[in-house]
Amino acid sequence: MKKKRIKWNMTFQAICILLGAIVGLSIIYIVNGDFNFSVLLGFTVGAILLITMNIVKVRIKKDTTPDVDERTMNHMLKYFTILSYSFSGLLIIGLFIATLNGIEHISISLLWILLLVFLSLSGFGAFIVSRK
Amino acid sequence: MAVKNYIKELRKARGIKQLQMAEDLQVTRQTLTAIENNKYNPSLELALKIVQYFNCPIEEIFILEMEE
Repeated sequence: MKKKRIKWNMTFQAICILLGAIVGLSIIYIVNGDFNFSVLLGFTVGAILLITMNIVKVRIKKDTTPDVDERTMNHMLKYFTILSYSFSGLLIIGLFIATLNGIEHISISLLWILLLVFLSLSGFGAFIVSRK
Repeated sequence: MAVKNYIKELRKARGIKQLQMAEDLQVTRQTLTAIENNKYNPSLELALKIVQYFNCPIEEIFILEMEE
């Protein structure tokens, strides 16, 4: 039963993402009185992609071996540790250079970009490392 | 000191396919290959699962090889 549930993990994640988006957009609607359908469309497309990937994966895979085991977990843990330290190091160097250049203010969008770069690197890297 | 194992020999002697063993132990085929080629040392839990799988003493499967 547990194995069957694990197989459909991505579908579960997609549903949770979609529900989260709906709840978030509803809160914004209650506060601002504006429901952003374009954001919902983006989340829906993402969820559909995830569900499709899950269906394809389940249909292709014939054996019952797990996708992740202790070795892949160790690899991912090592990758996340190296990535976190490297990213922190780069941020400190960047901060140091910015301080030396007399920069005292940075825009929030730059922080968002940095965060998204970190999350993307974590996600793609973990995916590649788990296939090793 | 390095840990060596005789999993490949034991598995072949018993006519078990690698994929079958990976499914039984719930590990990926790549992990089993890495263990068999002594590229990865399994956790104690997995090592004990392997011992239980072959139903023979641990020293017949895993050995600690002394470096010269």
